[in-house]
Amino acid sequence: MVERQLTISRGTKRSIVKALLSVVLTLAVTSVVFLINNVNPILAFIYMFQGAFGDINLASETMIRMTPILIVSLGLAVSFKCKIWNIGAEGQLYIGAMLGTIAAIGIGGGPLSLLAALVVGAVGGLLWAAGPALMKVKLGINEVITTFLMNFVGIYLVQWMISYPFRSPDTYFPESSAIPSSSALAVILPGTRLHLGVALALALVPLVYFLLERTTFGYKVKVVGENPEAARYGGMEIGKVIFVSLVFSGLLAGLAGITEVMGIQFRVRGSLSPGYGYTGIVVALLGNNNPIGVALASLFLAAIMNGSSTLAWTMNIPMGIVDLMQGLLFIFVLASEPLVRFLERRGVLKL
Amino acid sequence: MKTSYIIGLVVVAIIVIAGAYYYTTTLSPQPQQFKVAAIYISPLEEPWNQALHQSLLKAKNELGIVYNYSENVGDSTVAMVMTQYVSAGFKMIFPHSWSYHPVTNATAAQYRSVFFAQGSGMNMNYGNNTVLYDYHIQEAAYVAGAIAAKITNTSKIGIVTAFPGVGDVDNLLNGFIAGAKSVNPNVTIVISYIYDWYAPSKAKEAAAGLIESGVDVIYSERYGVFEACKDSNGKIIAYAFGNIVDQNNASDAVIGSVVWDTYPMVKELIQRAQNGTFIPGDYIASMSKGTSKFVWNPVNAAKFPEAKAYSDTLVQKIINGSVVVPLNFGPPSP
Repeated sequence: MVERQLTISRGTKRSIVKALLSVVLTLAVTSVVFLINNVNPILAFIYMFQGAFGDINLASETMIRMTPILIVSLGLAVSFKCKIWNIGAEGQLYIGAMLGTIAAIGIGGGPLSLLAALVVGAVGGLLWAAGPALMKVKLGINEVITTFLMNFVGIYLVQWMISYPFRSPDTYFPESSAIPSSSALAVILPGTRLHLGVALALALVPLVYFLLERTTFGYKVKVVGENPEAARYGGMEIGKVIFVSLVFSGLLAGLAGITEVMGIQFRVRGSLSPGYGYTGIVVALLGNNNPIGVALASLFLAAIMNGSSTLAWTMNIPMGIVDLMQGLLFIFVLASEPLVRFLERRGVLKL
Repeated sequence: MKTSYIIGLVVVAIIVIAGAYYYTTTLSPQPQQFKVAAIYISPLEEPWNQALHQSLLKAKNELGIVYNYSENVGDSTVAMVMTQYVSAGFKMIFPHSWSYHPVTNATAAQYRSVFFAQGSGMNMNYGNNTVLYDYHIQEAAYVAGAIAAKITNTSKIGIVTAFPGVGDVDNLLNGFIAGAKSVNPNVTIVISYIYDWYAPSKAKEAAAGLIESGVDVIYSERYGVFEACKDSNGKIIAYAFGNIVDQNNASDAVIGSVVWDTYPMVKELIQRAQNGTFIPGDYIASMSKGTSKFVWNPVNAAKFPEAKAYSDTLVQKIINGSVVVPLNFGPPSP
């Protein structure tokens, strides 16, 4: 028992070092970009921090930004742990948002409509992931390609729906009607936009942790991910585990979409998500598919996103810096394992 | 153990250096200037954005304000960007996109000491600090209509526009039609809708169709008409008017442009906010304020001296109030 705990803590320590290393390297390379642009990097990061956490309003805006990222990446953590690479969270998010909004408007307000919208939204995301999941399990088609391509199908389908059948009659811009105000998520911090979705996202952290660490399903996900041959030998239904973990990530992506509608935007527009589905991939990897790590990583990414917009107008750094940092993080997270091994061989790190 | 001490020391050193640097660079006293921010939904280069951006740059030089802007701000981000500007002590914010209006309503209600000038929208709650502006330049469109009726040889005038039933646009069309009818009540006006906000090829096709049917002057409410105004030999087969921004350089087939000049508005709003005489509500553009203008293309002003002289008198009459061009958001009746 003692030994088991020791090995877990060593693994955790290792993943923490890997995450920190990726963050430090990202900040270092970003600093070089700042220096090339004659911007003091220390000042730039301070402005970023101020923009993200400068006062209660800015901090709550960062929490709002974190909400969809966290919900998406918790789902992705489960499928990534199973080594199933769901790249389609963005499309699942849009489909969930659209179907949930239709449900909320169709039922027309009240607690039932609120609940139904959340459920329908989540199920919408699940269904959008079910196609690629079936293709993976039944036909062995690589889920990276199918989930990724389903993004375009999903997003353009939603664009069409808000341009024609579900277009708001009030306006000449493609957008859906607004959801009834009684099916909006309540604001939990008066004076800000911080809504119940944040609480929902944070509540999902221990739930997903429990699912992964304390249930048979979580154990199966890990075994199938680590060693499918062993899982097969052990008599696990690999197809079922893969299917469930992929549609689970779709479920949470759909939930992220509908919470964004019900908490922030109140209607579906083509600009609903600035790529939360893709950001979730970086976050899940940076958090090493551990719900607590994912929570910290999503807060970090949210802070970068919000901080960058302050940076944009204080120091004339284009908003593209967000994409740059996100891309660097992705590269360094992927490179961190061989890098840590290299440092260990050289005797710089002892883990 | 030793390694962790060294790491700890390095971290502390970095924090101290960063802190020292921060103090020396940011906490020096800064001049108390009036800070104005603009938020654009698309890249800065777009004409609708340029219409405001150029005026704010001018205001920065002439009024001594601080001007910062954010471009490419999506609907999900705009509330956060507004909050950041408010936190940074900005006193006036121009959310310059129709789709921002619900967020402006909510944010303006939250920060009553900050002034908001919303660029187009509907159902605004003005409170004490919000202005709604739009390109209500129907007076200039009226002048263009009058010129069109003066120079047409076929008594057939065309309009190329986006969608039917958009009040802000219909207001311009109504102005243009009223201007044309004021010169010649029997003139025929044909409206061609392209069902798109930005589709130069569709606009060109629509214009070619109008010209085919005998139209020889076109109000190019949308982009793309000028290319159809010349035949394959480069001969002018129809004249056209530009809209919103000065497009006189585009072609010598352009008679002139119906121009929205935001600088007088920007100046008035900033000065009123500074000296406490801010008036919430709709800010209507007008020729007397200088925000609505008809700008002749010099080439064609020389070619049509009679129409030029007529339009100059008409502009004077609009400014002194003897000719009134009311706002009219109803459907146009040509």
